[in-house]
Amino acid sequence: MNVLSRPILVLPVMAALALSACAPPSDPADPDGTNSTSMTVLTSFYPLQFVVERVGGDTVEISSITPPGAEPHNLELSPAKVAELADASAVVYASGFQAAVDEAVVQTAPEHAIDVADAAQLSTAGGGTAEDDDAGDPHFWLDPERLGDVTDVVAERLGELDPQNAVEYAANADKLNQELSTLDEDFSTGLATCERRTIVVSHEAYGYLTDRYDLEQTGVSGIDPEAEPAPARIAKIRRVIEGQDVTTIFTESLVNPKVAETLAADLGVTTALLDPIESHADTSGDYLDVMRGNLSALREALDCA
Amino acid sequence: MSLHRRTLPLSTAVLAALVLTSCSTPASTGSGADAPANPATTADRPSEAGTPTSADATDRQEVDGLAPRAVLTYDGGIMAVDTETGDVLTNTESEGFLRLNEAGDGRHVLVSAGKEFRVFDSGLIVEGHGDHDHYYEQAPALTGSTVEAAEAGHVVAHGGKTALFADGSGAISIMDTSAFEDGRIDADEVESFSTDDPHHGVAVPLTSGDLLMTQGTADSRSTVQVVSPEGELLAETTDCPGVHGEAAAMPTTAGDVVSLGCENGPVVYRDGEFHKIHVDEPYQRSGNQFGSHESPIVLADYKTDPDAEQERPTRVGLIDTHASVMTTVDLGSAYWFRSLARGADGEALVLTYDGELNILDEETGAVLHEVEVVAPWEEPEEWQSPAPTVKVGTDGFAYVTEPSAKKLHVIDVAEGTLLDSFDLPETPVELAVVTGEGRHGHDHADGEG
Repeated sequence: MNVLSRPILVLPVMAALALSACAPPSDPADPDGTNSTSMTVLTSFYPLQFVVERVGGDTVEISSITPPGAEPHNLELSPAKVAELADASAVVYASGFQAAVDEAVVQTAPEHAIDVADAAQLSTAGGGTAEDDDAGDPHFWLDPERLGDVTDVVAERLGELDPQNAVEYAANADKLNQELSTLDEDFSTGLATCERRTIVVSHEAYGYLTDRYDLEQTGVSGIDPEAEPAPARIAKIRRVIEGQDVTTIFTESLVNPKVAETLAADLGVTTALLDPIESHADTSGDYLDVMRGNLSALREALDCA
Repeated sequence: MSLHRRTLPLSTAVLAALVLTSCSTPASTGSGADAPANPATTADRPSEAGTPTSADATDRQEVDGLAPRAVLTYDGGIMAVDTETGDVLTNTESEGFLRLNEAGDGRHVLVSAGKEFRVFDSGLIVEGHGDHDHYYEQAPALTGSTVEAAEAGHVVAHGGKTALFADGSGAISIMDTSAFEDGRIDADEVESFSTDDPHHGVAVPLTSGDLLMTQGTADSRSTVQVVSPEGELLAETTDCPGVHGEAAAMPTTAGDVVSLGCENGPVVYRDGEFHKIHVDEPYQRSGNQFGSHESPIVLADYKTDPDAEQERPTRVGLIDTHASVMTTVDLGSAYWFRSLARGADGEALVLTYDGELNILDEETGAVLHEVEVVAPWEEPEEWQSPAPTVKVGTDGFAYVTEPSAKKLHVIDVAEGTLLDSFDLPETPVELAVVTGEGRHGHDHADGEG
């Protein structure tokens, strides 16, 4: 089979692939493509998976390139994944975030590669990749409005691929956009009046969020959630937070209580979880749930009215 | 790029994905079937969760932040120490008297060893990711890469370039500081220059692209020149007898500022020409100078006795390179060339015989902090012998060796506090500290050569 030149068809076999990994995925046993209306869509990481799930509803079979819970930045793609990418009806990704996905898209040249980077208005110019030192901040989904723009583009492109269901996609997108607007309003009002406006984070992923809601982000590296920090590490963290009027350091994963105690005792700060939603574990609810969790964590840390 | 180079399952997460999809492989290997995966090409890519990336891979793992590493020589080898845990990460036997120089990239250290410079990888890796960085650590080691240099001497990293000077031949090897990233220096990465005669000299790559270098012979050296890449002489002073010791200070709008020590007072290259610094003494030598990109002031030792076997000054010099004047501060206790350094904000650091690290405001000479760090000590008769050494990391902490106690101390310069002290398995001689972050400016000291 020639992956590069095979035309992308909406074949029922493709749907079967997503449902059963053991089916021979690329044998065009049924080239007439009878009557199935569903598409297989590969999404490159969780927030895009969420959007496609909501927009596509039941008519789209979705799988994610990034395995659940995995760190997406430095993802490596197996041959099987690359082949899946070549075989999918559409691939939804954001160029510049995952170098391996960018390369696989270039290599396999799927006819329907939906790059949402433009819609997300990433703060980078020139389409660098995540490996470039000068690449911009990729974490656009932490601004619900940007994710709303991405939602519109996804609905439009899916509708082009599958005109029969275009109306449904548009309606689903409208519904999601309403929810994103509500989320946006909740953030705006929830963070309108706060004692503090600076958040100290272990991963400076929140630039779009802090821009939108008029907060400041300061990065502090070196909080190992497991290992008790050395006096020198504490001194460095102190230097970063000194004069910042902060009471909380946000980390991406829960900090071991012993580490938290050390930080509290030495620096007088607590730690709390702020999820950049780069990946997703099934137990944590969907994008909207995690964002609301983030909002309450921010409101508590910033002492918002 | 060919796809197959990136197709190895490199992490547990992806492995899991493979397992899930493995029964579909007969039809899904289309893009990779004719191209066997090549493990070697994946070694330079970080893995997701610290799993080795291939058979060739290192032990590289992602960490939340980097603990600076101290690289230390001892009689018979090199050791590297994690400055937060005190763990000895590597201990490599290596013959000869070894000197350490930062390559300038925040990761590699050059070991001067007789006829060559050896590249030592501290194992601290920073990768940019948008507007923030990701950090990786691996085991420190000599990379096996060397740069030939007869009587390997000074290393100066400045303005994104690193210059290596060979005293035995006058050969100058210049490379982009970033060329060290892969741990090796290849011939096509090196620009070669040479002084007229071999001598104990130094070369400073200027940000203009020009090169500042000393000229002289084994017996006498009193000339400093700035030459263009085409070899045109742009500036020169011949009034610097015994030239030794150089440091770059905060640049002016006209470009780099470099101070050099002579035996009749320092000379400063600034605004494209050399300026002599007035001194009261007929003989005044500041053969060890320490600059900061943040400050026009250069810290220097201050010797005035031409006949001394071993002069033990208690004064240090503060050279205002922009105003061309030098002042002195008497600390009341002596020091040596390895016990001077600069803080991250330009502070002048001097560890004196009384065991105190004196932290001075370099502008006023006022003592900001006196930190008791080591037991009282004295300079050894041979400059190669162990005695306390001070280095400051780009993290702004000072690192001080105490050979008599086999210890390494960590000092918060801004706060003036001793943070930590670690036991070392060997008696340390030379010290270099890398943090993963490269330096903007540079400085260096030297044996009394």
